[in-house]
Amino acid sequence: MFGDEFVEGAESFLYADIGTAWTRAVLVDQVEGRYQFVARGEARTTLEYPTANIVAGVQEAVREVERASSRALLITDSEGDSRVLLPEDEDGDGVDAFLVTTSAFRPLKLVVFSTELPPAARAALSVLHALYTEIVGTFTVPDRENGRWGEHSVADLFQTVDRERPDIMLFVAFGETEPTPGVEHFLHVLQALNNLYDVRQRPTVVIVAQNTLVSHMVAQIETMNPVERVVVAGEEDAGDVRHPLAEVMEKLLHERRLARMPGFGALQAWSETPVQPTAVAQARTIGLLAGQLRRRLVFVDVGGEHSHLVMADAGLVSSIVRPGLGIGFRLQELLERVGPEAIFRWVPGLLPERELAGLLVHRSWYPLVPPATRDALWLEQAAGRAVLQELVAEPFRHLPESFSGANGHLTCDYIIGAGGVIQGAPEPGQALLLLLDALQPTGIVHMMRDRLGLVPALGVLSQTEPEAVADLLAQHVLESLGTVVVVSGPIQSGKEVLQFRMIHPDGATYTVTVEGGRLYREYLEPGLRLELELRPARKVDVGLGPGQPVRIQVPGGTVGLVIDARGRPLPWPDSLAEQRRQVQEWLFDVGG
Amino acid sequence: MESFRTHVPEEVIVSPCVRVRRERMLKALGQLFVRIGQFVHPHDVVAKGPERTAVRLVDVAEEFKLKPKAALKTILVEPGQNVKEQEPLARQSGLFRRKELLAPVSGRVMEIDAQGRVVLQVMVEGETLRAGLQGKVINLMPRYGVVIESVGAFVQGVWGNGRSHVGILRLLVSAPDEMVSPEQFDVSVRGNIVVVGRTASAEVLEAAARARVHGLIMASLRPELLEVAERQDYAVVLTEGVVGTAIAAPIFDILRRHNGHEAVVHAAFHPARPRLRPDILIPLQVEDAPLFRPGRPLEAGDVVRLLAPPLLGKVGKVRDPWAGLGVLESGVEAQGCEVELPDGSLHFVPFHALERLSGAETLEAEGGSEV
Repeated sequence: MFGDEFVEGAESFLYADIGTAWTRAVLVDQVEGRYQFVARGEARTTLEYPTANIVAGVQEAVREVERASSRALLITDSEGDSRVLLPEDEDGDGVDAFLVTTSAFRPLKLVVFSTELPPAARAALSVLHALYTEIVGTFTVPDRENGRWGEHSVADLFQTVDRERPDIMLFVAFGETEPTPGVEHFLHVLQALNNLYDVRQRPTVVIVAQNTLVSHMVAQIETMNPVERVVVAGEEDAGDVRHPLAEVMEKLLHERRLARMPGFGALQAWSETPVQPTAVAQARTIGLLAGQLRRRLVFVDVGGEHSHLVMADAGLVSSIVRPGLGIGFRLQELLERVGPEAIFRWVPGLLPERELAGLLVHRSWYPLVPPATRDALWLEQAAGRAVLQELVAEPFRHLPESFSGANGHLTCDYIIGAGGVIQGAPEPGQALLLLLDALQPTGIVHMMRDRLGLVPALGVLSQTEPEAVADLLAQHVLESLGTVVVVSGPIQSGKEVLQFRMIHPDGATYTVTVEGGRLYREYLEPGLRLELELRPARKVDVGLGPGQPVRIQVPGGTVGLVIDARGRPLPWPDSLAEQRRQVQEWLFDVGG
Repeated sequence: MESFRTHVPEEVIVSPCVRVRRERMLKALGQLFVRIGQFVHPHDVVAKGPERTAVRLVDVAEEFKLKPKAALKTILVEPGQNVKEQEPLARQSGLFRRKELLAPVSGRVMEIDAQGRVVLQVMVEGETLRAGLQGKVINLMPRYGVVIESVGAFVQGVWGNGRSHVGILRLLVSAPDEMVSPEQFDVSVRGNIVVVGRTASAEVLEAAARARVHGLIMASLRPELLEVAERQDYAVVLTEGVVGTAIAAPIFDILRRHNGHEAVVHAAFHPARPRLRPDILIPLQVEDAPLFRPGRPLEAGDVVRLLAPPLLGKVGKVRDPWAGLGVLESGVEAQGCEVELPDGSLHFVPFHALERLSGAETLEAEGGSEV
């Protein structure tokens, strides 16, 4: 539903993303017939007292863009209210289109009720994870005499709903064509659950079932609750439910969260394009890129309050938003959940753990404060690693076949990082190592970062202005960090695991012997490509199988070429002090 | 195009005399319990939301120590049935005596599950809205909320343990970076709001509880002691956070000036709401106190507290409110201003690495060390 109404033929556009902590604005314009990045600005998100209106943050970020570009983008009316000047005028002020994405809202709380589901149906429900939902309970509709709702009793169900007050009750039944006693029991219980809500705030019931069952249930429910329906043909077509279910959930996300943000109405009135959830737009961009490149892409975004993982290849787009996982005010919770060692091992230097703990809590109370010292920067990046590891822990346990490499570790062609901690890393080597440490891919992978925060904008643009997307990608709106060759297999520290030969375009060659346990970096500028010959030792794998040599063309980047011979999983010395010393060496190796 | 460069900073009120107004709003329409002109204390209930329904479980199997199937046979009520408080829900007949399980509250039986649990739908009290500060009600929003105005010396902190109390302000330290020992908490501090300087140990927190103080005010507390502070019945306010080494001079100066006066501590805090700050009010009978208005752009001469190491906790004055783009030691680039510290040194400080101490007049605490 989102993103279908962009003004076609727009020559310039202003894009704003409203996050939980920051609101960022980016100006893109056509120069000599090609779309180019012009300027960006950022400001605090203004959801809280004393402003309590998202418009103020957007205006401030746009003013930053105005200052940077010397171009008027806001117009103030007689009542003193400023809005984006649309369309672009003869003087070159204003823009033709204004696009907005946001993630500054609470997740939708959801309880899932289902009959026994086939695997395809369970897989189809994974679409829920892409849409800022928090599944607070999963109950199997009882169809046997014991009255149990899966692993739970009806009392557990009542307690869950009382505690969480979910926004949505999702009912899923693929095989049933007629109302079973279990379905009737669900309807009866729903009536009782409604008593826990104010009449105007009752949850929306989303029914995913075959037509006859949907009709029966809607007739029973529609006088009590708002209802949405997704009709399925039968169990064998369970996979087809993904798209219609995603549409319904997007609609509910819009109604129950986006449209209720203070100032949303005013902001929406400026733009002909619906305000979109950031993760939806990001996933669309990554899916588009994977399709165009015919490559496997992994995208990660570390936000203030939500984090996002997308895995996409030519036939798959898997998007998972983890609400409540970020490097904003929830850092203190993360520290309690994963333990200090999981974060502090990534902090080089000698700052005592007690001080690190204090600084981390301080940062969670003041998430907008930029890291001023090296220690503060290391700590922020350590927290970024811990957040990413939490984000991928579960999805990487069950990787899709095409993303599953040596010993079940991730393998892919591109990794793209986003979010303040990655975008804002002052040295590209820091961003690259953060992604490499947290995701621990195998094989040969090209690393990038969304330095300008334009990935969601590209997703919005892609539906109507594909040439704008192509132009922007062509001029490197994504910063190429470099190519990483990961050596995996039986790796012993100090023993030779790989020889690689770099063949430059002018014919010059350069051969390096790689020892296990080390990281190597070779400068290779962005835009350059060189031929690389890799000869791994016996049983050692660089992505094509143990001992298999390979000769490939690799693109450069702001870091260049990195050979990661540390092993998978990463080997750690015993003591925390040694681990921190080890991390210091790794950072040094990649120019962090 | 607007080219005038300003920045509106985060701010906390640290004022020797100010008029502060606060809205207190219900989440749903309810009932107000105050009238315009009424004087309220932080703990006073100013409004209540509507009653709401909730679930209460009565576990018959657990209470009678029976297996679920046996427990189900003892249950006397059915789904849909209304029950009154103390009405029997289940009865176990034995050879010599009979045990009854009574409804803990009036309600309606929603369900009885297979585990022998009765699910009761009960009515519970709605949201209770407290004044949160001491002052006068100056406006009412019918069925929705109130505006309260306070006049006095007002100090906002960084973290609080959620408690509110009134008591006599008592300084146990003579400088903002001093520390106290548990032995200093004797009967003489009972009911007081005690200023303890730099920080407190676990022993001091416990000693304060034994002495029945009403509040502790200190610069900082180690992260692992936050939980201990949260457990206390008295109010705890940290003026600097978890890494400060002294109470900021303008704050200490106000506390010192009002040593022995009545103070109201409202130790509010929520990590997701950074602008919900704990506060300390020393009420004053003043007619012409200036009204605090948030949102003023940063100006030269503003007193600010710095929030990022290596200057974390330092208090200084803004010399140039727009110093442009600077590169920090970490390599990060940020827009910022120029701040002068009491020792005369000048520093580039990113806008988001400072907060204005609105109303603060001094940079150094009298009798105390520089902070």
